[in-house]
Amino acid sequence: MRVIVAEDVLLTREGIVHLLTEAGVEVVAQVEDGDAVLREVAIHRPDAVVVDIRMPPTHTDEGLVAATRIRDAFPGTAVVVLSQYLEPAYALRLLEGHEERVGYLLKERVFHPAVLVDALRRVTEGETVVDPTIVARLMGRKRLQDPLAELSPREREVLGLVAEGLSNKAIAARLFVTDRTVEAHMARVFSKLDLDESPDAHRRVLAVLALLRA
Amino acid sequence: MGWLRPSARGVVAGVSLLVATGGAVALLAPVRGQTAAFTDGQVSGRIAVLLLLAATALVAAGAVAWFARPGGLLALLGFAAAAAWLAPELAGSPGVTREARSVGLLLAPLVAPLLAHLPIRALRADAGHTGVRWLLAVMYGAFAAVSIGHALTWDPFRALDCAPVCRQGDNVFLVDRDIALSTRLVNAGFLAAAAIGLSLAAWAVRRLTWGQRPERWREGVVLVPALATGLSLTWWSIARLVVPPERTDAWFLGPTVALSVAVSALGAGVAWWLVCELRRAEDIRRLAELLDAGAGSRSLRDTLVTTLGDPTVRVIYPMGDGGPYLDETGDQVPAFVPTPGRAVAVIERVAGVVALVEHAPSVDADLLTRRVGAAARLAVDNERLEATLRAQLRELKASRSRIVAAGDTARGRLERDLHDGAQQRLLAVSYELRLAQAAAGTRAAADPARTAALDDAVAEIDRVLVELRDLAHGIHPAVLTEAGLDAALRSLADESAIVIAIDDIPDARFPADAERAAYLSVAEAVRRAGRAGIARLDVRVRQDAATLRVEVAGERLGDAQWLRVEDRVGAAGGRTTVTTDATGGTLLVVELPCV
Repeated sequence: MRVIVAEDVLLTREGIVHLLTEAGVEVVAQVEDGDAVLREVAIHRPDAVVVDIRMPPTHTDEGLVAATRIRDAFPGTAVVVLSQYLEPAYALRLLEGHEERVGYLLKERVFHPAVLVDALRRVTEGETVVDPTIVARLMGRKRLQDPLAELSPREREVLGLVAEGLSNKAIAARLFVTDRTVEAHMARVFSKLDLDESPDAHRRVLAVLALLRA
Repeated sequence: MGWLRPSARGVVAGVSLLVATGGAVALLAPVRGQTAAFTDGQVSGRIAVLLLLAATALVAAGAVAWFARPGGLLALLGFAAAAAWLAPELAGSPGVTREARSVGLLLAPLVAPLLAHLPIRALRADAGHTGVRWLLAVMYGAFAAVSIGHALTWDPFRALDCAPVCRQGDNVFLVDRDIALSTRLVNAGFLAAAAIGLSLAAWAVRRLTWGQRPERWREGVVLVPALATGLSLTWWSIARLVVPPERTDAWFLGPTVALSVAVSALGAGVAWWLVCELRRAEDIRRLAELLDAGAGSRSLRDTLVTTLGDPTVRVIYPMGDGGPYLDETGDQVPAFVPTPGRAVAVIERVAGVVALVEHAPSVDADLLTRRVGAAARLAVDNERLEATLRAQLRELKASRSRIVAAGDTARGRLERDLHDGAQQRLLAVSYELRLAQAAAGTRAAADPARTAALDDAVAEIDRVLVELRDLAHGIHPAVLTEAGLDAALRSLADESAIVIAIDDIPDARFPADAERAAYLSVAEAVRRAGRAGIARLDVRVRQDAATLRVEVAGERLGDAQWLRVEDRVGAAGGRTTVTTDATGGTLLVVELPCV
């Protein structure tokens, strides 16, 4: 897998590069700001980009802007945004309009073994990855009219794992059930969220969006 | 008129009235006077009535002015104009003495400058205008020269047009008979009168179209007749120049009738204007009493507006020598520049100038200064104090907003520093630790105690990172500045342990201080609700025109002071209301300006 890393803090950037290289991921370029990352993507056409949400010049949402521009211009390149922000608003902003091949990870999770590499692998496979902490937060929401109210606790749990970017197989392994059971849960989730008509891969992402918007 | 002593003024008035009376008598004498000089020709009965009417109006204007502006020039102008108006009748009357006829001859040319001066003086248009005064002086000088030169050289006995009524030695001022010169002088006088007429008309038109509206309407009573007088004076003068003296038909009568009517209207208009002025003076006197009595609930300016009938009155308070100035609302006026065409009354005290009143020029500034200045001390002082307080309050509000904004900026910077400094360093440390952890774990002779210590350290750093993020968020919710109120409030709801029902929030962005105040109001309500163990809050945000309205409803939020909210909202220029109903339900309403 060929990856570009965009991160303005040297230590973190080197850490990420080191970690990715250790895991056998080829880092083709390292950049420090949003404009440079677009340039490098155009040159190298990597499989994925890891981009920090806060970069020069304003240190606010340059990474998010760069991510959406990459997804618009290079549909084959997946993007994982590293963020300090727990708020689903940011993840939603990233996912809306670019449902596939995007991931939103909290920055503190970067150096957890395998989390980043895992997320990169999933987004390049076309999945959508949302940080488990954010998913947990979404699941813990207290709402009067919950759009997800019709889901059973088990179905919610499965939807949360889908949002984290896990495949049915991985979910089955995590929940100690069979693949068939997971598929059945997902079918009911789609039905309850009125997503019956969509193609399968797209449906999973739409379900995640429904969770984010809820 | 400082240069005319009161006794001299009496003499001028007396002589003028005498001449006017003489003219009137000559006009009404059984032998209908054939006139000489400026109004040659036969005067029919009807024309005589018109001439007399105009003279009466001028005398009336003078008489009213004698009372309205005691000691002023205007009364003399009215009387003198009447005298000059009827002087030709006197000069042409066979029934009076030679001396009287000669005086008539001498005074007759002065009618044009006097008629022009009258409305100008009545409206005080010459007061404080050096240019106008010079113009008037030149005008009088020119006509005096024409008049004296004519009197010294003209022999009525030899003049063709005077022949039927003029006798030998009729002009007692005659020094050197020179018919050609005197005729040229007379013609020059007519030309000058035509020019004066045009200037008067132009002045009246300019003032009618240029001034402040309410003033214009009121001044119309003088200005419209002045315009008519100017135009008919020009017409009459040109007719004198081009129409042969022996003609007595419409060529002569038309302009004479027009001028007589216009002058009658002018005299009446000036008189009426002066009556109004007297009434205004009376109003100012009452105003002074009113202000002395404490001014009531209305401001000095409002009282002046009503009394003077001038909605454009400005009252300005100097705060020291040479400014700054404050208006009555406490707004700073950088430098006091009087509006062109307006007059300024200066209200002074021992300590210096306390107020400047800019008003319509037709109001007597001296009167205003004297009466109001003397009587309205308390009112002026109150006003001034209030204006100062308002200015200070405004400054205080601005400073409060600045302090809050500075605090917000500092918090924003702190949040950024935490994210971009401390957090990044901790991340780097955590990476190093993980490397160490990995190395320790893979080493052949693994030291379980060290591995456990490293595991603990990694877990601790993860917790610190989470705490750091929460801390940064608490210091400054970045989502508010970046994504707006909707996202920030929804995020607040996600974090909170209680149910927060959020109604539709406008997706628009608002001024940063309004957004922050709105957010922090809701956050404070959530904090209180959490403390009070309340299960649910209802939040509504609406935009009504220029107001952002935030409503938070909950059970038993309590009516303890919402100081944090009030301070915040107040600094953003907003208003906080907390109401508690009978069942203990609390409604917090925050209204913020959002334009």
